Amino acid sequence: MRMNKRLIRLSAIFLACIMIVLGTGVLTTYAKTPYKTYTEDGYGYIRETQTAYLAYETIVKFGDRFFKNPSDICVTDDGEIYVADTGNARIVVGNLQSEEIKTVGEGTLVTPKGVFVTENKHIYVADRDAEAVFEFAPDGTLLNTYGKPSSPLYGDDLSFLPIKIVVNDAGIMYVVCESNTNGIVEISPSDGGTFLGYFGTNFASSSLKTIIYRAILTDEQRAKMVSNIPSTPDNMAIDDKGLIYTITRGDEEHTLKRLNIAGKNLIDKTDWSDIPAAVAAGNHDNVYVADQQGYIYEYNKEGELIFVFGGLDDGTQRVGLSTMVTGVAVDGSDRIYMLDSDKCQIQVYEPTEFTNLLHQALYLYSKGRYTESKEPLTQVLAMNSMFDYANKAMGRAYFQEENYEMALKYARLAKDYEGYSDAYWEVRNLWLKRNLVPFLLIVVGLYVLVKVMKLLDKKKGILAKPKAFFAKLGQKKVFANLSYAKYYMKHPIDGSYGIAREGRASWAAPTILLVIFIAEFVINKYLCGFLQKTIREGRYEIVSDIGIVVIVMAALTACNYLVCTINEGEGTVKKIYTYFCYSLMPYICLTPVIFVLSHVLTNNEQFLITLVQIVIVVWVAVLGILGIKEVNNYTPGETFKIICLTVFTILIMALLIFIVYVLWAQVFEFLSALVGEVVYRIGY
Amino acid sequence: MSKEKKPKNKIAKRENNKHGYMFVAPYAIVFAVFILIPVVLAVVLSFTNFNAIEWPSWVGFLNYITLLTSDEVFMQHVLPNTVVYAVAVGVGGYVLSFILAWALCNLTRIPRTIFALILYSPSMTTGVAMTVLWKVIFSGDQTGLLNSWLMNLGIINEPIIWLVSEKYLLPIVIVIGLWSSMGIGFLSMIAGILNSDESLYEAAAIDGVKNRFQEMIYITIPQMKPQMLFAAVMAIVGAFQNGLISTLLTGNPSPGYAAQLIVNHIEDYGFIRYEMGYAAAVSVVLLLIVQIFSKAANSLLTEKE
Repeated sequence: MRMNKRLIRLSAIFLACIMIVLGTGVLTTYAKTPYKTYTEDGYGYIRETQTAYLAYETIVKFGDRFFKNPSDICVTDDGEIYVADTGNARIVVGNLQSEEIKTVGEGTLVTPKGVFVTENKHIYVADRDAEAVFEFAPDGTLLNTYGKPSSPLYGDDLSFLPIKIVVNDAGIMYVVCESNTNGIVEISPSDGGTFLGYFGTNFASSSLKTIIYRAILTDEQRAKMVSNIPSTPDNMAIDDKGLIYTITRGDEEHTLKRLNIAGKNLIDKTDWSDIPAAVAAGNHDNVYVADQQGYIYEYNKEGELIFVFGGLDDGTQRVGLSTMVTGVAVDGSDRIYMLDSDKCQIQVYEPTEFTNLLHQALYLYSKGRYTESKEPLTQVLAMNSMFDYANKAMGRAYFQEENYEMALKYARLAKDYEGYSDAYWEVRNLWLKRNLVPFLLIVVGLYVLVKVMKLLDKKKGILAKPKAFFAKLGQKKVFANLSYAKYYMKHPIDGSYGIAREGRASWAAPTILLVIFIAEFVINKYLCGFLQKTIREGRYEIVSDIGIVVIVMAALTACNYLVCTINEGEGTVKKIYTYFCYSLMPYICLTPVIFVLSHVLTNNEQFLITLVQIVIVVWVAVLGILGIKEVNNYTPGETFKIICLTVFTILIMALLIFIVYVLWAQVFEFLSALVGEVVYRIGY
Repeated sequence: MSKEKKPKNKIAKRENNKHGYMFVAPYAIVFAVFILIPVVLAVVLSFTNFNAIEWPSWVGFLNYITLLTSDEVFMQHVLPNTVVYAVAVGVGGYVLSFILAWALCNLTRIPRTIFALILYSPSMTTGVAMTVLWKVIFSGDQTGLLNSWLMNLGIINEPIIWLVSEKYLLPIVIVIGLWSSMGIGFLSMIAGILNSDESLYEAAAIDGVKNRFQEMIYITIPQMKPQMLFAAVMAIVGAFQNGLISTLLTGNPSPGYAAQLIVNHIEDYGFIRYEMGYAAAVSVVLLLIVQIFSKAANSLLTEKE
């Protein structure tokens, strides 16, 4: 009893302690967001990073005016927030403190779907059901109404249902219209609205399948197919240079486009977001794409992903999550305003210090102030040294400063292959400039030395002893067979005859070659030059590499033997093993070349490595096939059959082993369960 | 050509080789004037700075150092392009001309001659064909043959400007190079195949050769080693020295240096910029490359037992 009391008291103290710790924990993690922030690392994988934006404020009304199904938002640099309050048929203007500044367009607007505010505070509204674009003066008076363009180029039977609008410095309006697949409607303000043409048209993607269909089907059959219509852009934004960003749902590759004045896309494919809802241009050559489900993607101007954060509110009503995003905007101090039409609110996010530093660095870098950009980048890296994007920018900044050694280091950290290649080219160039003449002299010297040695040997025989030693060594069977592998490599048909008839088949020499092959394979995989590396740095899977080679070799030999014996082949296991191992000779001889080249070549000369690789693959394949053919004494047709059968047998064998493994796993599970049961029963 | 074995007979000794030299003299003089001296001059010029007007000034290895370290166009475009072109057109053209020669030799005399002439003609008429054939095919608007075919098939939506595109220029040049690669080597291969000993085929048939392919591998190819070697050297030299195609297609230098070969680079420096010394250095490097590849072909195709 007493013992129990003490226990209770102890545990009470313990609990209190936990409470305190937890309590302070709550206090310190006050800023913890309900979402995680991710970035893309150098290998293209998504990786968590520190919070980039914090949920800052939630605005549900301006003054006493609540929103009803708002569908678009626009924020000026001085912090005025314009919301297209679709359900209430008005534009409400307010600020971050939820104060109302003004209301525009009441009585005029029907269903305002899109709003845009120019530098001089003119308000453009895209109204779908009024089938018009309205322009309001800053004080709210209606200046212009632009209806359906009268130009025949617009298309007579097309309706004009504007839903989103942006306006450039010259006053030219870019309007996204519902159910108009021709692209963005470009309208000039002159003469009460002149149709300039369609802009940024998406192309219907034609897959290989549709191309083949189109080539072989008749016109009637083609007419019955589902017509391949390009998807129309869903939303857009304009940056201060007049470049237009569009987002398109259902476009598998080019979700986000950055269009220049000619309508040409400037960024590569970005396919992170499936259902983008809105886009906003940032202040640092960056762009934000808001997903309908509340994720915000921040890209740089090249379309590289910087951050992803936010997420879908699953009913917990936590600040920072959204349910149905319809608009996004950015103000002068990088706050993000995300409009949620379902919750009828604006969620405001504020950048953290980390993000601010990164933006600063991006800005400086894009302005060509590389040296200055290093300072914020250093701070970013001090906060997160694994942030590959910053490493990359750092490497590029060093490159621009012509500090190539450092550029090399950071490019390698960031897995920036292009930057690494460029920096390495410069480093190598400097080395060559300094050392080319001595290097050439050494090469020439070595050449002369070898020639002189040969001459002296001919005249006076100074190399007689080593020669005799090698000749003696060559008489040993293993070494004789090893040098026969070299002969096999050059003369596969004759060499195969030797394996088949002249007793050149053995176990020792091929095994030595196989071991050398494995060693070269592993060394080349893990220690080759950075640009050639196919595996992530710091990752080693040597055991499985060796295992795979051994298993493949064993399976190849076994299955080829099985197939050959029942197809009148003349090969024994020993002969088959020998010719497969000897066939690896080109790899063994040429991989050192690749290894050395991979350390001295940049991307410019990559084709040399590719060339050697192609030579290796073709050569090994030819040797293997000729080995099968000649040793077993097959015709070409039979050889083809045997190769197919061997591959098939290997597959069957793999399947068989898998089934046996699964069955045994079941048996073991059953046995261990049985034993467990018995132990449990006996225990009581 | 001139295999000069040391004469061991008495007449040669007595006459002091005078007549021999006299007979060789016409060729030797012409060879020296038109080939040997220019080559030596080029090597000498490559160590100078020469602009074709002033007297060349000696600069030592500077041209070579510049070529290897600072000539970015050479390292990033010209050399890769040349190697890719030489491998594709040299090796590809060689294999192609062997296969075609072998196929032709299975025909009777008259059609064989006609086809041989047809296949040989592209290598002589590159300039004419370029304007009447290839420029029409690769025209950059929708009336160009290739563009119009691809658009009819629905593979592309808008015409591709083939001859300005950095992506397609080198492949186009390679295709044209292959088309025109049935040159002297091709003729020598036909001769080699036609001259092989008939009795060997009969003997092989008795020994159990079953098909044409085996005949080709075991008899035709070993029989015509000398012609094969000649064709290989011609193919390599031809592939490395060919710069005409891209000049005719797009001018020199080609857009973005996409199809710039070594010969174009030499022309660029020699006859556009008048940096003769540097151009000479590049041509010496070209000479070395051709020499190395010919040696490689030699050692591959000749038996040295």
